[in-house]
Amino acid sequence: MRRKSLDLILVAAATCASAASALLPLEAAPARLLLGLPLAFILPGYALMAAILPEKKLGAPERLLFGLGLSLVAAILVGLGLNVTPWGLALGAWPFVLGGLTLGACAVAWARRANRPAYEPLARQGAGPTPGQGFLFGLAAIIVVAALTIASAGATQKRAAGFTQLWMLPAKAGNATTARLGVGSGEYAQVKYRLELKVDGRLVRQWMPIELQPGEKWETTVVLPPAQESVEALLYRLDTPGVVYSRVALWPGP
Amino acid sequence: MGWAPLLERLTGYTSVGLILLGLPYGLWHTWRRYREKALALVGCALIYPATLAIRLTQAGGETAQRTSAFLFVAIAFVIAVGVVELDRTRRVGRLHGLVFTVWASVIFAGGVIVGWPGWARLPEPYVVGADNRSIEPQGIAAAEWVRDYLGPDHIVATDRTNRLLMGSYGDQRPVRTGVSAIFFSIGYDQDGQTFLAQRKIRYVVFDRRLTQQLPEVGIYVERSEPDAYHHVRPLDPRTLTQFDGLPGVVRLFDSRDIAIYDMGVLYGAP
Repeated sequence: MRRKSLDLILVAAATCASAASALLPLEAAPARLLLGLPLAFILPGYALMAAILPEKKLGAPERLLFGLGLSLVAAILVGLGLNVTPWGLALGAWPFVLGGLTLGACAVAWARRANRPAYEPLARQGAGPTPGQGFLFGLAAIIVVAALTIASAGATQKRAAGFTQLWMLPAKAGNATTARLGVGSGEYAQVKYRLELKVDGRLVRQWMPIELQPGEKWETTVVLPPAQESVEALLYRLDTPGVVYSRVALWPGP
Repeated sequence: MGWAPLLERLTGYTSVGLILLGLPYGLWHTWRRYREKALALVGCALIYPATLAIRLTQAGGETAQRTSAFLFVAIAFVIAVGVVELDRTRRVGRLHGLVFTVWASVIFAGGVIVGWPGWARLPEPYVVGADNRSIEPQGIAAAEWVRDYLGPDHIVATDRTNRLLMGSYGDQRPVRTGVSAIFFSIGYDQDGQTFLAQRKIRYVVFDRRLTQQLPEVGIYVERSEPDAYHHVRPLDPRTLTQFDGLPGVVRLFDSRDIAIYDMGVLYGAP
């Protein structure tokens, strides 16, 4: 029994390893990926197929195809199910539920095989590909490589220009009104800025230089003048100092 | 929204023709041999010709496109049954493999062509109103900023692309209809006031790039907008500044292309 279900033991062990990979720190991304991918693309489908077809002698290509298809179906349905639970589509819930499903399917397959005398996990078919099949496979491989090359060429080019965010969030602080001013860089390199604060068109304060690396933020809080005056903050890049890059404003209330 | 190149159109039409050619034979043999087990697949495959008809309508194209992902499970099975039967009973000969490979390749290529417009097939630079091509870092960052600094669940009015981003990355509640009242107005007029007040719009998100290009999918904000699918010029830039100077309104965010206005003063929001 153990011998004819060796594949199920391996699948169960791999499932536990894959599910446990979710506990690895985020820095160990390659290991998480390597261990986690089988749980999305192979293991649930294999286990489900073994549970549904305990003694059908399928060839390796069919098993691969059905295993992949069933795994994707399982992942989609688990996603739908998780979405309506209180946990939602959380990172930790996926391996737990998919792993549980796989182990459950392994248990069903084990039980169903127990009552059957003979089982061949993988039926060997034929003596190998013919030259014609080899030619077509080679052709398909060339097409796949060409498609990946074209797609990656487009994906690696810069799709969008860098940008810088400017914000002003007014808030009440006792009798005074304050504003939280901020600049955030989404540029591809270090950029230097000048920030001007104007009240009714008069320059009242200036910050320069504000120097930000990609992904960095700068924030400060200022006390705003009485509510009858408009307030405007203007951001300039120092490489184009005469051009207003962005502006935020607060106009006096009714 | 122009015509696809001739070769693409030919491949698309040929692929549809090859499917329609193969379906009756496959359906016949599926019905004869597998109808007890594959009745659902037969039924699904029969829907395919109807989806071709609804592609001729403006709204039907999207429905047909979304349906095809599911229908092709059935179509693939039915046609595969036909091919196997053809091979088993008719002895097509040594060319069978080659003919089927070319046939399947044309169907595959045609499926991509019919299913995806040219601009959507590969990752390339930003384009206005172009679904996946319009999703880029600046829009995502603006939506994340709204979530982090303004909090979730505010009612937001914006264009089609930023609506997706504000709803997903931003955790906001973007309105889907009526938005053209402010996006097709060069000043803050009565329609805009009514829309903002009735729908209790807290934030309006403008994207300057909408004033620089025509939308690839034909609309900027919603299907009922003026000149939908027939725009000949981009949005008027004056649209973007219509709230400037309005008492109590705050232009609280600007990332060069994307600007966010707080309209809460209109209905006394805190």
